[in-house]
Amino acid sequence: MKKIGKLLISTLLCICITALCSTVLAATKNTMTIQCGSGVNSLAFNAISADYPDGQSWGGINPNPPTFSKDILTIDVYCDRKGSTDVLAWFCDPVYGVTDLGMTTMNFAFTGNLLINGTAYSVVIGQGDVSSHNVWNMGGRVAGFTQPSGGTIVTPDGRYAIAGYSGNDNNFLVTQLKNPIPGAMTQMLAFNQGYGRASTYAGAPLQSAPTMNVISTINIINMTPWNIFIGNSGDKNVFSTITNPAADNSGYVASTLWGINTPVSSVPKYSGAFTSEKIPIMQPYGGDKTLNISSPWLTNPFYTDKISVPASATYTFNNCELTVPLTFNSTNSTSSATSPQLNLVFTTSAGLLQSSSGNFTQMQNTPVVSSVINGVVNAYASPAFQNPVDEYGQLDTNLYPTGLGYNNVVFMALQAAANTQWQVLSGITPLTSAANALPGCLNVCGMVYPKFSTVAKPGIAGTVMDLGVILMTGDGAEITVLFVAVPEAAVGGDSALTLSSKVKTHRVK
Amino acid sequence: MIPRKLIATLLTFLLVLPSAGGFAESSGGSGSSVIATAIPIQTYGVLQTAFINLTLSPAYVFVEPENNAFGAGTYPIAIGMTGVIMNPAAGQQAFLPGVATPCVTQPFGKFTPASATLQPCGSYFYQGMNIQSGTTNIPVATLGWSSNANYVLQTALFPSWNSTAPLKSNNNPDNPLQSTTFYQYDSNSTNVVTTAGLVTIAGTPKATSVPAPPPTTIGMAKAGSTNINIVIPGSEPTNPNYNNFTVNINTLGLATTTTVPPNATSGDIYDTAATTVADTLAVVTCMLSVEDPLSWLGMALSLAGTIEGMCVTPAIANAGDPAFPVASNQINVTGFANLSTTAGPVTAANAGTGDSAWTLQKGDNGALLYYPTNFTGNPDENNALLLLNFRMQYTNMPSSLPSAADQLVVAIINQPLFAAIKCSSAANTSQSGSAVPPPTSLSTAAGQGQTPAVKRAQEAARLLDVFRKIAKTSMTDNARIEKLYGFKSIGTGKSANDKQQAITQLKAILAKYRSTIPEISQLNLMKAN
Repeated sequence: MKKIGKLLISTLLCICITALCSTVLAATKNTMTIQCGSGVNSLAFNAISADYPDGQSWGGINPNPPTFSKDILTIDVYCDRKGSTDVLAWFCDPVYGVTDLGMTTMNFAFTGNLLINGTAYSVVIGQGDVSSHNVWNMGGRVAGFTQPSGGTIVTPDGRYAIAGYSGNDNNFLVTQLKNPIPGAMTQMLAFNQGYGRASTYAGAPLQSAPTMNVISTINIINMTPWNIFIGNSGDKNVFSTITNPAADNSGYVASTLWGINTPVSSVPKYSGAFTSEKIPIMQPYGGDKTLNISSPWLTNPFYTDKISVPASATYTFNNCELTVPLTFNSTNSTSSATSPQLNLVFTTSAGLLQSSSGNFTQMQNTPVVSSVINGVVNAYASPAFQNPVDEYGQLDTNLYPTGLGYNNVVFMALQAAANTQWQVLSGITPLTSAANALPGCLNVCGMVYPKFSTVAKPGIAGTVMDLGVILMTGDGAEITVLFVAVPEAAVGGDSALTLSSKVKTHRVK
Repeated sequence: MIPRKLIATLLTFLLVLPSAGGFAESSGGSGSSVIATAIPIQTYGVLQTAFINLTLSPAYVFVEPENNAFGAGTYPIAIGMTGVIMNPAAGQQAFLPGVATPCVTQPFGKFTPASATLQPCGSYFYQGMNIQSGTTNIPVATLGWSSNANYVLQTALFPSWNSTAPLKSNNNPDNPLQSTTFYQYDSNSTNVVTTAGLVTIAGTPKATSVPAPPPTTIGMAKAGSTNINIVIPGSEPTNPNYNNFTVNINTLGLATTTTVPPNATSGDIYDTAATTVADTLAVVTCMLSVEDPLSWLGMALSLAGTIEGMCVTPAIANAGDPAFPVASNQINVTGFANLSTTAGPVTAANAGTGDSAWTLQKGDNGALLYYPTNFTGNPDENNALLLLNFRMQYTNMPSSLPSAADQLVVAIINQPLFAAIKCSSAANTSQSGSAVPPPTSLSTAAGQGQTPAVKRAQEAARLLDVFRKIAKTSMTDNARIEKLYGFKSIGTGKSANDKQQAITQLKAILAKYRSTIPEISQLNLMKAN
């Protein structure tokens, strides 16, 4: 196995150009391309070192540096092809962001700096053989590269994604990521369910807090042309405890919410354009279609979080959590570059258990949220939910009248993985109270995937559409998850999905 | 979406059913029947609503909550195809931007066709319907069908935000806002997360301040009303009249125990109302071509096609639905309308004022149809309001569970256009015994050969042209035509004999105008026999 340093490469390339062109031509030409995607204007590559099997002709990269034209960087490597485990080992020592190469040998490999919009990223590139196809692989040569989904690596700074492109073994696509947050991004709603302060507390005036409706319904409405899969394909029941004992005890089954224009001949009652589901979680007040109150949705212990709490607390640890993946542009829960995911997360402090009196019967610690806003740790649960002394949202006898039930706190969140194209739906202005300077209350949040139509179907003609996911609650009893497709605005790239304060009003004369 | 082939089959059935055809003048009365005056909707937080403009003029849609609208500029009142529309301030109306130009703000106090919420399905002014800003409204001789499906809009409405108010508690046990709940917005939180589907929330909550009193409360269980106001300027170049339609969404507020009654099941009114929309859409949409169903145009057109599909399957969609239990009372939907020289919201107080008032002519708890009686004005302003609720069932839940979400369809329909479309199929049905089949695929388009559907659309356009000219000549004959094929004909004239009589009577009317309206001779109806 030959190892070639940067200097040697340069020397060889000079030789290639001046005297040993025949050597170059004797080796097999291997061409790969790296293409500019959204937000990427320039690409360049500076080779550093290379490796190839002993005895093989090596002509190096020619021209070097590779040419960049019409948004495509073309790298021509002159080397005969012969699989080598040593070369593969060289490729992998080290490589970051790559978990499964899908090959056991490599023909050749080289390292260098890939310059994306002028910023250099150290990468290793190699060619191997997979099912008689010469397949290229690229990974990070330095730590920090990640692989958010199969076939895609993300630069350590989270700014760019490099993906295999359109089924072409020789082509990569580099796109700028709009959400370079080194961590997941969450948009969250929360609400309290329970009684308010029963009596004066520490001299404070009597406070009132709302009585709740239990969460009885989730509306999921798809107003997009894309199919959306709800749940995990492997876990048939999404809300497994939603059962109807009078029927077959089946829960809400993971399924596809069909997009507009999706003919579903096997499901004639679905009508595509307005596919929506109103999922009954629980019937609040009994009636002729009583669901199984003794086995409500989201009970303990979907997830139990034993957090550290003050020793004086007199509650148990029964947080409940349920995460439902939403997979877009897909009829299963497999994520890919064209079928991204979001999490729909429900968390409660006590589960959604209902007593016969209509109030929750227990209250545990508030599910906890550590939030980072603008880089500043500002972790809190809603102060309205908390004991005002120790700042934890746990049970406190001052928060409820004896015998009338207890508080429960429910969080609902949309959560996007790090380094994805998802953006926070802008324009959300929390309602604030000047009197007490509390964090704002709002019951709508959302995320946007800009230009999703071009991702879901590259090369789509016509209007470019953004994908929006909006989580909204008008009441504890009714949660709405909206999926909308909205044309991107021609100017400024600001779609109509902005939750802006620009109220479009009109006073009709 | 209901497969096009299924739609075709169902529609074919409908076209040969007596209820879809005409009726004889002597066989029925006005057809007026009101079984119910409001549609109960099985929700109270969100109301899925589709708007369809099957008139000849652009339509402007506004949403007007009660004057104490809460969270103006902060809370959405509509989210859908045209984006997120925020609650307006008290006394104002939120404008739903145009489907074609979703980011264009409607100029205050001015109607600009290019930025209308809904474009017409056909027009004599904007042939081809590719309306561009600044285009002069130049009348053309023949009807041009829409080429971009911008006459449909789907959105979700949130009509019942709570205002700030004391809450029920042991301190205030009688406050009716007992179900109001807190909501906390937490932006850009970072949680410990690995990949989708695997989430761990960890940490410790910590507040930086003590709430005293608690923050403002927000909810959607408030009893109150929100109006959807639809304004349609008439086609007169100057000083047009305005069709002012109002759909009232009346949130009934809290209830301790309540269920929503099952939707109308295959009732005469519901079926015929649904058929009205479906048949009109079948003609309108057949003129469009969509090469890419995932395009914006494809999406818009599919909305129309889906509504069409829903409307031809009401019996399937509604049969056997048990009542859905809700924690709060439901929403009732009603409507009213008038015609005046002033564009403005119609209120219950002035619903009967103006040059003409629209009254509820037919209604059950699944469909309401408002149209003017004895309309004598410009035929382009002879528009009706149709409200239709489509109730969907689960497909992935136990079958014994109650219904899924409701879908409200708000359609405005030009009566002469409706009559022309009905007549275009009724004549053929009467003579051949089989209906002209609807389009069989989305790729069927004008200019791609004279399919039966396209031929029918062309015949409908010719008939509309003739009907408009007759209306401007003789309101008596116009009334007779409307009685034969207009909204009054809905639900009447079910026998083959009735249908044949209607054809005969229509031919007799048309024959009177052969010499003055040359287009009559071009009608297939008059060429037959």
